[in-house]
Amino acid sequence: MTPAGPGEEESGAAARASSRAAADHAVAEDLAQPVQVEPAGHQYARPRAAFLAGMKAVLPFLFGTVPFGLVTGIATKAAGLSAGASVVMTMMVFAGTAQIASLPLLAAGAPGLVVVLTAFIINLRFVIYSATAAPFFKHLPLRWRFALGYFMTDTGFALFMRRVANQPQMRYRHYYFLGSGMTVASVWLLTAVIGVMAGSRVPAGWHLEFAATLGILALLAPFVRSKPDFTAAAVGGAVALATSSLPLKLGLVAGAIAGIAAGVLAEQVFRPKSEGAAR
Amino acid sequence: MSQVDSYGWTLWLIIVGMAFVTILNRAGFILLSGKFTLPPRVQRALKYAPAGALAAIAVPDIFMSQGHIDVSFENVRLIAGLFSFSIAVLARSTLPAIIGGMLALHALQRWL
Repeated sequence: MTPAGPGEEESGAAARASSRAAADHAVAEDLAQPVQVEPAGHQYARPRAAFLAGMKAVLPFLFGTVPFGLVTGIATKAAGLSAGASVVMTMMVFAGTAQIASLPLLAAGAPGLVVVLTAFIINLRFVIYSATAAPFFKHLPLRWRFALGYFMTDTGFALFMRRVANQPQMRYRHYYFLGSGMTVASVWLLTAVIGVMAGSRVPAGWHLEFAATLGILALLAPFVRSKPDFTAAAVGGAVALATSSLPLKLGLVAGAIAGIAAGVLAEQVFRPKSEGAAR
Repeated sequence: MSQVDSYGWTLWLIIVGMAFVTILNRAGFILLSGKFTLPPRVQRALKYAPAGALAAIAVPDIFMSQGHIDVSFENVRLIAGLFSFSIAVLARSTLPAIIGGMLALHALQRWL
């Protein structure tokens, strides 16, 4: 199994300093770089060894987590949330892309349901991760599975799938997953809190709330390198703009749904010829 | 300027709601213990949700000015946004893009 579709986002999906890996291939590219991994078939002797190995594997990706956490913290505060609400939101939602995406909506006073629905749509990619990872964790008690779900990140998922690719029965694999997930979560929360504190000191005249919009644009950037992703974004944006007069910010939902449909269609159109011939 | 205060206590409800749908997406299938799987076709479609949804937020945000579409140099958020997006695409880096975009916004506001 290949790490299918580690999307963009939050908790440091990028290896290079501050580069946001928003598209599948971007993370795949990062993961293709040589990283120290245990020899194939290696079994961890103790849970702690697996946990530490997970921590170690995720370290290079933290260069992406740090600036993203800072930006999220600053933008959340700048959108008008109190410092307390900003920190609680970061901790509970633990999904930077969804959080950044919600900020312009909150600042504009969009209905709460639309804000929640937007977070849901943006985090739909986690459904793919969850479905892919589920068979590896089905033997665990509910408590464990809940924790593993909470600590699911783009990077953590990609690293885990690569680690267990040739070794589905790897011992203490859930500790490996938790090691990377908890490391990202800690760094993410810490940098976001620093961002909130920094954001509190910035005068309103700096228009820092615009940083959230710029953050969304930066998250979109890697999508231009994949034709179906680019099509999804272009159609999603165009439809949302055309329907922006709809009440309750529903144009946003219309755009997102149109974007998904366009991406699927584009995937058919741009499919490599060799693959098409093989069918 | 920000209307966040108008939510009052419902802001906490929104945060809890966002957290709930996110954990649902993240943990749903893991909690189901692999008893159900997702058809490959659905998995492929879900891949495009972030691109579609993010663009649906950002595009109206920079193209609209005071309630209508404004594609001109008067729309400083559009110019600064496109500038920032170009940096993000070319430099493949977030922080320079955001700093560049903020500087562009302030420069344009001063000169136009």
